[in-house]
Formats: sequence, structure tokens, C-alpha cells
Amino acid sequence: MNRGHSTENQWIEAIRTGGQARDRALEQLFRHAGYRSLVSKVVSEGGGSEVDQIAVFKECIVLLDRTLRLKPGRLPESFDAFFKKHAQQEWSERLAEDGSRRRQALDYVAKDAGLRERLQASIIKDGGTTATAEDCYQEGFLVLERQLAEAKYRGGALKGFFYQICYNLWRNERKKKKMPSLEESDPPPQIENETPQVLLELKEVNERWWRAFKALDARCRKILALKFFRRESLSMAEIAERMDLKNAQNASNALHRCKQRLEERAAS
Amino acid sequence: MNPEDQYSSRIEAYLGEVMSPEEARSFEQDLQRDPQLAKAFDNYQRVQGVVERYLEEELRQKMDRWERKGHRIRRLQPLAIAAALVLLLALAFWLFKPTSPQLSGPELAVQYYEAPTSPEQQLGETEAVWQEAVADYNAGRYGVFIEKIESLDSLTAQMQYYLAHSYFQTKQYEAAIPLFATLAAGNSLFNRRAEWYEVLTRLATGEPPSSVEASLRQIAADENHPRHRLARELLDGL
Repeated sequence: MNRGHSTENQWIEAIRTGGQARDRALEQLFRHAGYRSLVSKVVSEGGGSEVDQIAVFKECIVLLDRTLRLKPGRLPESFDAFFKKHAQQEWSERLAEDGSRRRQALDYVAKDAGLRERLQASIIKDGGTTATAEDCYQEGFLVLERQLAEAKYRGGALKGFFYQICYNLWRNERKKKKMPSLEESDPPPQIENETPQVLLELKEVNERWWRAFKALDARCRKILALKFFRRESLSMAEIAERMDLKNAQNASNALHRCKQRLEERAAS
Repeated sequence: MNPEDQYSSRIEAYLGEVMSPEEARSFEQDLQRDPQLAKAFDNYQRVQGVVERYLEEELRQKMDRWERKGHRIRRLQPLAIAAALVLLLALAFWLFKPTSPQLSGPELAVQYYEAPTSPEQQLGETEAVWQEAVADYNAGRYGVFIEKIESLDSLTAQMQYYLAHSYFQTKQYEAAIPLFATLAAGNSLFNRRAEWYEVLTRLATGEPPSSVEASLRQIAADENHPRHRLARELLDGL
């Protein structure tokens, strides 16, 4: 399914050019059946609905756009690999953030009666009883829920991930019986970089800046967007051309005024 | 000049990762020392953050629009297919419907042409010639009838009328037309019938139906015209 390098390069070039070229390229990517089905597969195997598949696909497009604009050079991977990797990450994050999505994912696993039977058959074959297999299956859901909430699921078939959890539980159970002193060790707690208070303040500042930006007139928003559109900024002459301004100096003055206005509003 | 502008090229170089490691270290040290540079750096990142959010929200809105557009197209697809099928069926019906074969102008003229019954006896000088000619006409010897009538010095309206019919019967349409036309323009008993036969004769010559359409419409519109019903039928046939 790999698109040719030339097509990918054309999309990269168009997105970095901005304006209508970027819109056209993004719309083509948005309508690309191959990338879409790739993302849908990742999300559906992760227990997501059709709505989730579309939402994740959109986020992948947003991320691709941002990456291409802000990171110079080629992508380190193909577009196929990019969509797959980021769909997995995005879906994993969504599951971690949203309890109702996790329940939906657990439900997706629970509905597979064959999975339960296969697990039972494996455990019994491995010396376990029906009751032990059932315990592992039930406990497997608790562990799965926790691992999803902690974003430890990194994509792939969720049912396979669950099966592995259950089978590990059975192996631990078996080890406990042989070596009662052995205890399951919890992973070390993660140290948060930011305290909730700092995060809250940060969020408030960001919102203030966002409100200030939205309050600017459309022309100011446009000139700022042109300036900060990509990492290698457009030259003032290019900005002047796109804004229908007389020359680079006029563009520079207009940009300065808009930036100042934004900073003043954000500070007030 | 705004002090932030003085810093902006360094900030851009730093954020764009185009500085050498030494330059980057020096920039980071300056950030610690120079509060104005620190403020400019912070503001730069904040503006970049809101612009990024703006671009992303704009893109999300566009994707919603593209999605709706896609849905509309998908919703309309079955309708478009149904409409295309209906059109196709209508076309097939129109192409293959059992129809009576379309007749040409000359064929229609022959179909609608009806030879008049036996001419009346004519009294006067030409009585003998006329008697003989009528006998020929009734016997279907139109050529002989024509010869006899053409030998006469002057012709009555009745003679002209039957002569014109005899031309028609012998397919001498070009000779029949002026005779019917003259009669149609006159005041004789034959003028209205001559109008009708002039039309038929013209059609018989292969003239396009459009050339006789006006005359036909006139006949068809005239309820008192002895051939108005036939004229309507012929118009439909054309």
C-alpha cells in the first residue's frame, strides 16, 4: 500500500506551501481510502467504534499537518507507518482518558465467547482447572481496565492483548503455587513532572492567550498564522504578497502591530 | 525597535534547531540572564501555540465539512443510481417500443390520395371528346385521358381537375401541381378539394413536410373544409 515517494513528497511540499495547496493536499489525504482503512483497522481491533475510527483518523491528519509544517525535512517514516503509529498512540491515549471508551473496549472483548473458550482450553491443557481459568478470565478484565487507563496498551489486537494478560495471570498463579513467596511486583510509580496546580495555571494562561487571539480581527489572525505557520518562517516579502501588502516593510509593521495587540490582550 | 524583534531571529534559530550546540548553550545561558529575552522567548512560544491551535481547529472544521460533503454524495448516490436507471429504462422503452413504421411524405401522399369518382357529363362542343375521355378515365386509361384533354383548346374547371388527377395517377406530379394550384385559387366547385390534392401532390414529389405544413394547418383548422379531418390526421402522421 506504500504510496510512491514522489506522491508523498508532493503532499509534503503542498502542505508546507500553505494556502489552497495545503487544503487540497489535506483533503486528498482525508479522502484517502488506504490511510483511512489502516487507521480504522487499528482502532477497530482496539475495540473502537466507527465514530472513534473517524475521530482518530482526523487526529492523525492534524498531527501529520503539524509535523510536516513544524519539522523540516522528510518524515522519518512512510505515510503508512506514520498513520499506523499515530493511530495506535491516539487510540491508546483516548482509552486512557475516557472511562466510557474503556468500558466500550472491554465490552468488545467480553462479547467474544470464543476467546473465553480458547483461554479456558489453554489453561486446562496447561494443568489448570475450569475454575482457575474462569478466575483468570474475570481478573483479566480488571487488569485490562487498569492497563488501558495507564495507557499501557500500545495498539494491536486488543483481544490478543487481553488473552496475554489472562495467560500471564495464570502463569503467575502457577508460580505462586510452586513458590508462595514470589509476589507480583508493581511497576515503580511514575513521577509527575508537573503538579496539578502548575498544570491548571498553565491551562489558564493558554486559554487566556487563546481568547486574546480569537478576539483579534481576521487580518491579524491571518498575518500571525502566516508568520508562525511553519518552522522556517515565510519571508516578510512573501507575507506581504500573500496579504496584498505593498512591501516587506509594511508586512513587518503589520505583523508587529498584531503581535503587540495579542500580547496586550493576553496580559490584560 | 521592539526589543523582542531584536531577539526574534535568535529565538527562531534556536527553536528551528539550526544553532550549533555552542550557540544553543549560549542562548540558554542568555535566557537565564536576560529577563527581556526570556519574556520574548515566552511570548514567541505562546503566539506560536495559539496560532497552532487556530490552524488545527481550522483544519478540524474543514475535515467536518469534507466529511459532510462525502456523506451528502453518498446519500445522493442511491438516488442518482435510481434516476439513471429510470432514464435508461425510459430510453430503452423509447428505442424499442413497438411503433407503426414512420411513413415518408410520398408514402403518406399515396396513402391519403383518393381518386375522385366518375366525372360528370359535359355539354357543348367538346361533348364527344369529353365522353370518350371520361370512358378512358373510368377505365383507368389515364394516359389516353390526358392526351384527349390536352388536345382541347380550352378546359373547364372540371376538365382541369380530372386532368390534374390523371397527372397524379401517372406520377406526373410536376404537371399536376400548377393545375391544382390554379383551381385552389379559383372560385369553382373544385377549389377546396384542389387545395387538399395540391398538398398531397407536393408531398408525393418528395417536398419536405414543412413546405406544406402551413396549408395543411389551414385546411385542418377549417371545420367546413371537406378534408379537414384528413388534414389533421396527416399532420399527426407528419
